[in-house]
Amino acid sequence: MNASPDDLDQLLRDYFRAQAPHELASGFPHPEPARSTPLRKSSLARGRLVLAACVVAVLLGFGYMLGGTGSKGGPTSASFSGSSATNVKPHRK
Amino acid sequence: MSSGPPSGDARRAEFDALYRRFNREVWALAYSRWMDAEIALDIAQEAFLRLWRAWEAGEDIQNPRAWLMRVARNLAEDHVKSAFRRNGTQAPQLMNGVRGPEWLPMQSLEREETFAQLHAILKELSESDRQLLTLRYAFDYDAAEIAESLGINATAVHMRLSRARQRLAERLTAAGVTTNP
Repeated sequence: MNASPDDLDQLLRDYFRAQAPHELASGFPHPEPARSTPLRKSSLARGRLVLAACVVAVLLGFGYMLGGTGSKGGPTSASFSGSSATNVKPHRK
Repeated sequence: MSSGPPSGDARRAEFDALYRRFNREVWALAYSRWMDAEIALDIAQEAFLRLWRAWEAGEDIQNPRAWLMRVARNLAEDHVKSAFRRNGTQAPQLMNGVRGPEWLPMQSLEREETFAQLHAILKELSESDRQLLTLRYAFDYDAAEIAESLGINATAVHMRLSRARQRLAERLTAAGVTTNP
């Protein structure tokens, strides 16, 4: 290799500049510490609400399915028969 | 520099000024340890984040630059044990950070190969020589600025820079690397 000092300088400059991240030229991404805790709490509460809503929806769906299965064999409970009886027309010959 | 914890906008302005002034030095320190640009950036930003939190906590930091460098050095040392690394941080890959969309594919390949060889040779140098080279070639620091950053005098900077370049040239020659990719 017939490397001149200028070539080596240029190689090193190219290499290190390619390595240096562009983010160093911009400002620091501030963490906004004052808002971080309340935001976290509210998102946690929101998550719990969503989870509770999902559980309720699953339970309701499960109950509906059980009720639907039961209606095929004929409603037996008073509450169910009361609500379904209004929708079921009596069989007429 | 004396810097107690300022408040509000003044604190933020002072923090931004410190970041602009020292982020490259902190990054160079971490980069010279790990030779990985992304890890070095993470370490540098974490060091500054800790400075911010220390100010938030009311800590009186007399010399923010020295504080940052110490924290960054500790973070760089601890990085091997950190969760970030355990959880799958990729091992330093050669040339992942190389950007150069203006290069033709063949030129780009040659350049990457040359850079990869240079990367390997740089890893053989001492950490302090790599830090010196990083400040010199990534950020165009002059001898006085490097001397201030490393806590040595400008004559020592010239001497170490010259030796480091000579070692590099010898190893590049031995590896058959051309210096004008």
